[in-house]
Amino acid sequence: MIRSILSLLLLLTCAGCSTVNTVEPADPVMQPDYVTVKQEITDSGLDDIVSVQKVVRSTVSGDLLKIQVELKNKTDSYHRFNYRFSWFDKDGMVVTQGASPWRTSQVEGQETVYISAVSPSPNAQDFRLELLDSLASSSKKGTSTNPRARTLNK
Amino acid sequence: MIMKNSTITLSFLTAGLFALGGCNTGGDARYVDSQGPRTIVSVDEINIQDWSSAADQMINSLLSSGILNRSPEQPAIMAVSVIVNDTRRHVDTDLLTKQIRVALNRSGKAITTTTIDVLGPAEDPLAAKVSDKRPPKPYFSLSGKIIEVNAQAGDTKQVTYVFQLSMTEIPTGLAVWEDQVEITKQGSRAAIGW
Repeated sequence: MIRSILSLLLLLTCAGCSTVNTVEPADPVMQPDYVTVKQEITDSGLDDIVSVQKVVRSTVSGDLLKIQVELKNKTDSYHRFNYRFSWFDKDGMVVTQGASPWRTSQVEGQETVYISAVSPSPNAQDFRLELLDSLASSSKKGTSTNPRARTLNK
Repeated sequence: MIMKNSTITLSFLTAGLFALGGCNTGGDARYVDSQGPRTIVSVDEINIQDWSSAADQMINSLLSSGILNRSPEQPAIMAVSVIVNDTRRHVDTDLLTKQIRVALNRSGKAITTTTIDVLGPAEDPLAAKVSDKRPPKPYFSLSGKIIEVNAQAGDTKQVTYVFQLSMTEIPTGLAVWEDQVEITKQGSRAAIGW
């Protein structure tokens, strides 16, 4: 009887769970140019769910910086989040007047997603990625005056 | 005379009431960042953030491809051709193409000619008319289509907006870059924040 109840509870707990299985080469050929990053966590709740795994950089179109960030959902549940990149020149100035638009993304349980962006100008030398929990999931009206942001600086 | 004074007093009182009303109407209108996540999400129309997201993905794809470096002249000269709107709504496709043009211009990889007429007058008819020189021939042409796909399950509506773009290399007539961005929204009614 107790076993049945426990099984039922387990089933109910995992009703919204859907995780991802992956396969990849054991000896990968790729040689990524990893970026060492520092993180400023202001939303540990989001960090407990969506965590930064690796950051890779490359150059495209001759002189434009491209950044790719690997994010993993550490939970077994689907989650939505927002993100945006900002770009800086060698003097620390933002290379465009306005920041890049916030973009939305989502991850299934235990899924790894890759978000990337290309710098808007050859002058861009550094980047910053901001991650923000979906307002739709944290605030019904999306009117929170204290957005729980997390930044990742190179 | 008394009547005139009463009219003036009444006018001032009315104006005062209107002025006070403007101080606190109980309304909730406010500015939000049009690039931020506090905008409205509609199920049945392309929101401002959808245009930005589609343009941003297209820009990243285009710059990552490196095809703009194929032009012998740098920055490459590009013309915007036809973007077909195959959705149920009237939309201004400049909301997509202008962001792409601005980004390519800032990147130093491409500039857009505004003096070539495609289906109507040139974007800048004055420059096209008074320029002594023949307009520079573009090396690339940007064209595309926006498609809408709908589905419904009970009260839940789903709409997918498919943004398709092609960059044709004019000397060869070949589409040297193509991409498709899909934005899918699901729900029963509009919401604030995403």
